[in-house]
Amino acid sequence: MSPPIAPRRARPAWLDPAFLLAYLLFWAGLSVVPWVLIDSATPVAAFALTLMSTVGFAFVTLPTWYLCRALPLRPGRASRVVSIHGAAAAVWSVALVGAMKLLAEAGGLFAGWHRLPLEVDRTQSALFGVGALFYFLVATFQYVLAELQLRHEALEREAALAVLAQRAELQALRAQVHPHFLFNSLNTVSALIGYDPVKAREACVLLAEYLRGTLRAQDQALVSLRDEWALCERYLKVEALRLGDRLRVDVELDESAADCLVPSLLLQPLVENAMTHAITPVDEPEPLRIRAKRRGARLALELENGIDPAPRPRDGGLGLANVRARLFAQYGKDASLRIESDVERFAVLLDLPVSAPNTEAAP
Amino acid sequence: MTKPSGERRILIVDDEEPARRLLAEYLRAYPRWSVIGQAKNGLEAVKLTQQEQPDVLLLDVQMPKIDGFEVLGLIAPEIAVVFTTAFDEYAVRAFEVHAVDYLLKPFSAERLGQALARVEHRLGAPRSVCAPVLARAAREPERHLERLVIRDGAEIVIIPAASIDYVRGQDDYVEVFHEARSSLTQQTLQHLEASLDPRQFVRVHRSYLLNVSRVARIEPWGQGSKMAVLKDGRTVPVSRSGEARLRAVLGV
Repeated sequence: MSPPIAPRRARPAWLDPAFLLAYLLFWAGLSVVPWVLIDSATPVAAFALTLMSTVGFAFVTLPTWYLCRALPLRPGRASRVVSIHGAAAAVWSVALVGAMKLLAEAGGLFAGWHRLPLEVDRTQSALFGVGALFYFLVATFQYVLAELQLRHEALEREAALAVLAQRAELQALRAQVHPHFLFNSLNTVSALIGYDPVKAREACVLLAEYLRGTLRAQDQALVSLRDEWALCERYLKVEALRLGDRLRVDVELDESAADCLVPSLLLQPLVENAMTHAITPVDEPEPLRIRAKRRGARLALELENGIDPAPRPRDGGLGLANVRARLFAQYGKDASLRIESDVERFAVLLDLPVSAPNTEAAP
Repeated sequence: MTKPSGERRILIVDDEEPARRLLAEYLRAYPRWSVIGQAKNGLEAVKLTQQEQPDVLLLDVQMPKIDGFEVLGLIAPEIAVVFTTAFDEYAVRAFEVHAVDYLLKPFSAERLGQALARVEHRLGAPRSVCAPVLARAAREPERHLERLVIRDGAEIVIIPAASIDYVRGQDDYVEVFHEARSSLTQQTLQHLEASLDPRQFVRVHRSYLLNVSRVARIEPWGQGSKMAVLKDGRTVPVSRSGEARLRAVLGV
């Protein structure tokens, strides 16, 4: 079975490496601001100041992330959002200016930049304004990121749902036992009871084994070709009781091919398809030929049957479409279903990668 | 058709041997009903019906060659028909063609007995089924007739709709021209027109239904009328209203 689909947990965007890099570059660029504002600051000092603020700022921006999460943008709530963010921006900027003062004092004490505390004092209102501006920039940035993340998650969920729906559909396709097959088989058993009770009992056992096999197959994604063929064989034996010598089957199953794993109920719809179109409606049908060969890492399956000389409109192709869809679901483009047909014969050729039982065990 | 002794003659038609044997076994409990034959497919059924003139057909629907509904269209209307099938989707169509009963496989001997009682009741009263109903029954609902199964003299001819060139109507029978031959059948042109695909078959004249894919060109022919020249050179008269219908389908 394929792995379950779990939604990714939401986390602050700044933990993203790409975002962190962009963030650092942004701040490096911003070193220009203290360099211009603070007269005594050399470029190196300005960059050091900014770098220190950056690390602090990274933690300081974290509240905006939670605040933006807590205050999603909804129509009619603009004033509430603006006032709360306004208050937060004021508090945040005061904290920023305070932090810069502390840093400047530290710079004055330990690095001998004695004019730094004075410069910070002189420009504190400008710093406050710049801080508030940054707060709003960061908040806007958080909202944009949150929105993008929501869209991304919605798309992912949609894709996951599509996969689930497809899986359910395939399950349903796999499960179908045609009621007509059951009704006809029961009629045959009812007839056999009258003139061949031993065979009637045999028919009951075959029918039960076939039905049990299809039920079991619904829980298994992959089965060995041997098991898949055993299921088809039961189906064909039940049909043979009904059709007598009209049904002839010619099978060549290589020992190496029989061990390969195939999607469960891969062959059965193809066999049933051949029965419906080329055996049941024909008076003296050609035999049904089934071949399986392993060629290196590939498995080749071939089903060949004759053609109904008086074809009638029928709901056909469902079996083939079903098998094609299941092959694609399992192997993508690595497997193919090809049809060869002319006036005398109809052949379905499957080509799929070999999955050996020991490397990819069915759950 | 009823024998003085009150014996009823039954023909069993089914392509599956167990199904035929089951019916024969069930019928042993009804000594007044004697099985006069068993047919393995539709064609055999029609042949045996002609030879043996049974009172009743126990008729499977899905069979090789021609199916149960097509058989019904080829046998005398006095013969009672009881369908036996595993498919319940034909029931409505079966009663449209006045089948006496419709037995869903598997069924019990008692259920067959009920069907025979109904047959007894209905015996002798002919099915007054008209051709269009039969034609409708011989195809899936919402689908056009894909082939004609008709009796031409002693022969039964299966004509795919695509191989019909044109049909000429004469009173209560029609002549179907197909693959360089023609077959007569007791139907009317209206019925055929109603059953065949209208995008392929156009009533170009009071007495002609034409397969448009055979038309090579349309030429003037006498006073105000035209004729369609077919690809093989044969011609079919086209009336003024017929020409309009033909042009509408051809889109010219």
